[in-house]
Amino acid sequence: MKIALFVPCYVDQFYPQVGIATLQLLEKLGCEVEFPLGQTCCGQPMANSGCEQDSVGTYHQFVRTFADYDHIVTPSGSCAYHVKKHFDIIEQTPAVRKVRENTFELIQFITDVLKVTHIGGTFAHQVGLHLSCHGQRGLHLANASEITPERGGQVSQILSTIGGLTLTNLTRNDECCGFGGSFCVTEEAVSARMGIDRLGDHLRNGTEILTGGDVSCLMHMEGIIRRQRWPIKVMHVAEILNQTLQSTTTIPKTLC
Amino acid sequence: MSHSDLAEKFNTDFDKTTWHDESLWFVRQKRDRAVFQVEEFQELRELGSQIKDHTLSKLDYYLEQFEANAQANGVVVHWAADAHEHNQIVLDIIKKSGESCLVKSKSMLTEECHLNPFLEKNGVEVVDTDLGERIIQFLDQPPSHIVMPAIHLKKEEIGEVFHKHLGTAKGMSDPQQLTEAARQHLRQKFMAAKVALSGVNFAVAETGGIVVCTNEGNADLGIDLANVHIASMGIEKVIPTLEHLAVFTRLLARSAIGQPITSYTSHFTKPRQGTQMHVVIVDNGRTAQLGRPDFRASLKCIRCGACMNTCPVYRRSGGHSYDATVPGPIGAILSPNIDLKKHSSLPFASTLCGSCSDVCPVKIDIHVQLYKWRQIVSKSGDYSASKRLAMNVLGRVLERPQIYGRIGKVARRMLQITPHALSHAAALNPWAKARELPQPPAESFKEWYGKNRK
Amino acid sequence: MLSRQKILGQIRANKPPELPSPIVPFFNENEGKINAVEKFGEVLRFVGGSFYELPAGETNPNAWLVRELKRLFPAAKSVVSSLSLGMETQTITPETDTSVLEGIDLAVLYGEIAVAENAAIWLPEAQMPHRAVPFITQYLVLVVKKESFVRNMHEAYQLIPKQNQTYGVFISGPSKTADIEQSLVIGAHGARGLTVFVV
Ligand code: SF4
Repeated sequence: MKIALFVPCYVDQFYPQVGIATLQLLEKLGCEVEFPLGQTCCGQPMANSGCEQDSVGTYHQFVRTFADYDHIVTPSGSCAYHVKKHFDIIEQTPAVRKVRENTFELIQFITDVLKVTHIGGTFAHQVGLHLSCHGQRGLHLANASEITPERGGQVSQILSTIGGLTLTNLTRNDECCGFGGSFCVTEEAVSARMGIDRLGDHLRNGTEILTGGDVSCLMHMEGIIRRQRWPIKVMHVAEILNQTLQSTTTIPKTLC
Repeated sequence: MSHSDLAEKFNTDFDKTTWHDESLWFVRQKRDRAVFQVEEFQELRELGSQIKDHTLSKLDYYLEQFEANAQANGVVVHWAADAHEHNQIVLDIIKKSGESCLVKSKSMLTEECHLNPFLEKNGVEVVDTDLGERIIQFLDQPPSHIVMPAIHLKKEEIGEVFHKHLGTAKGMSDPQQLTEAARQHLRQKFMAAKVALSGVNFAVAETGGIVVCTNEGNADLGIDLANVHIASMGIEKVIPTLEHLAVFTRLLARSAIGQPITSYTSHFTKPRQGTQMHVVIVDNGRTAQLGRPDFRASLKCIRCGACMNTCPVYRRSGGHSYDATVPGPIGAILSPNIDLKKHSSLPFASTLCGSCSDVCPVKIDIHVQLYKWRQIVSKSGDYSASKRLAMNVLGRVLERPQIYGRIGKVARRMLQITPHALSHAAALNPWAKARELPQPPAESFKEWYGKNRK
Repeated sequence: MLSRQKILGQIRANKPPELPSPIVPFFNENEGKINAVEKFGEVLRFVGGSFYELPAGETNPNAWLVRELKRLFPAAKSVVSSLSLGMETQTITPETDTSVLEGIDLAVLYGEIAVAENAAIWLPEAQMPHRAVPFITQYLVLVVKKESFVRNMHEAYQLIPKQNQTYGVFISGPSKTADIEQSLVIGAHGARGLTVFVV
């Protein structure tokens, strides 16, 4: 199984530790991971701004870079969703179809493809999980509160296997944080307000460490936390899992 | 003004924004409780969606069937291609009746057509009889929500309005007392009015009847005491049968306000002995929307307002920030069809979180349509040229890995050496008004990888 | 008529290929499991109405009704009813003047279908002395026979004849509004109270 790591553009530049944690985590899970150097971005910044046509070149570059791999794994639900959902405007060659089918958000890859649902180890903190909308609703990584009162989902499931870790019970489980790509600057006032409210829920309910599967949402909220000097630390879920997962676990060699 | 400008203004009052958000979230929670009690609710959503899809695909057939049955019932059916024609038809009916006062229950279509100012200009007194509508009519404001038109007002503000217009005691702001004052005031209007106008929630093709849903009973009271009933409906309000109506009566009030059904679900099929009933069927851009495959589904909307209550942006920017007849997520996909230039900022007034699509009782893919409208806006003349260029340049950088690598490094380095005051100047960088920028690391992941893995 | 042709023509030009019409089931798998009368009472209280069932052993429903009405509405002067209650009532017809209608304190009418899931009662024009009565009266009483209960709206609409409808309304609870700061107020424009008697 040939696995490629996709580290989105802004993660590459500003959050290299998330890329490192993702790589190490996958390696500890027994995967052989390559990081193809031709990668840049999934094209979302242009497309979400309404300039889909300007992202076509980036889409092709993405496909060129990753077409040879069985799986493309990324620590960003939003990027994975974008590849799956919005690469429909370019010609659907076998390579394009293959790449769209096999691009995975990290946790989804771990639970659905590697079939690992237990990470274990200890992490003695109260962790607040931010369900990023693209992962939650777009990739169905967690239930939507409009559809069912049952909370839960893949990320909280896997975090709950870690000793000492308590998950924050939020008042509004899946309210958007207000990042929204270009929204965070074009609608600065509402975006900031949404972030403040989202973090207020975490503060009131005791979150020490804020985590999630999307660096973009975390970057937005971290920006607010640092401005407000609130006592919350931000870690991508890959960083927590990589920290608690001590050694190589026994993933059957046939898988990886 | 664009949505973001109006939203920014709204947000200058932090506490009122909190209050507005919480009021609407409260309605969303009531909706959740009502919905989760119905085991088959998700099946009903799917049925509602399919019935609407089916009806739209045979819309001409069902409208003609509705018309024929309505006419057989003694109803006069009119067709209006646009807002102006609709308004003219309504005015003509009122004039012919010899009356000069109209009592009106809630109709978003007449808002869309700006009927009130038109009639007033022509000497007709219009009395909105829904409590919320009456309040904003006194204030000369448009509704800020399609189900709760005065949701943006605090009870003290409403007390003030009633004091001025109805002579209630100064400072009285108890909702119970205010509602009683409105009841007394509007009863007089109901007693006197001979012409009543209502909206239409559903028009049933097989019976030729229309269905109006209210909690207050104002539609019935107006219509049942008048000699002329005018019902205004968009072409998309028709549904085939009573079996289908059953599905929508189960979806509508639960989604809208968390009630199992509205207090009154009234079926007007034949005019009362000796009175007239008119139905005005209005297009006003709807057939054009029907012809846009990507946006056609917006015509399935049953105007429950759930997408507004759930929308984190609507809750924190208020209905008036949309500057459109229908605000919120559904308004943001309907309005560009009517006037792309005026409403070009609306598709961007969303994080594309998708909550609207998940809450919608007829499963309209609202957030997908918002994304698609963005693509259209960017190609129109109503998109900032500098942004257009920036996206184009960004696209070209991101398709060339070497250039991207070099630029990224330079940008990171610049951020490292730029003084905080400059990099965070709010005028240059909207991000930094309320947020810190990420701290630039010494090396990118790519650089780390080059050193540590290969 | 020009607009009619124009609108229909544009629809024909713009509509998508025909999509199937779904079959709407009755959603009555829980038949038997739900006591429709009980459920109805529960929901009615939730939507602000009150609910009385003919007590076991009571052999004269009419007398019970009159007793209860006198007890619950002692101040009602102008009473309208479509039932022969043997109480003093006012005669209302479709021709009755608005000024008379305005004075109605209490209307006692027969409801034809009662829906458990939402406490809605079907009141067709045949049960109304004048269309405005159920709305203009200060208080509304609906009397429903035990046999008239159904579980949900699918069953209810099956019982409503498609032909010869004139006017009819599903009434669920009293008139209400939440237009002022979301606080629920009973008695907006229509009846201030709804009481349901099951006989
Ligand atoms: S789009 Fe859906 S949720 Fe929004 S008002 Fe219409 S029916 Fe309700």
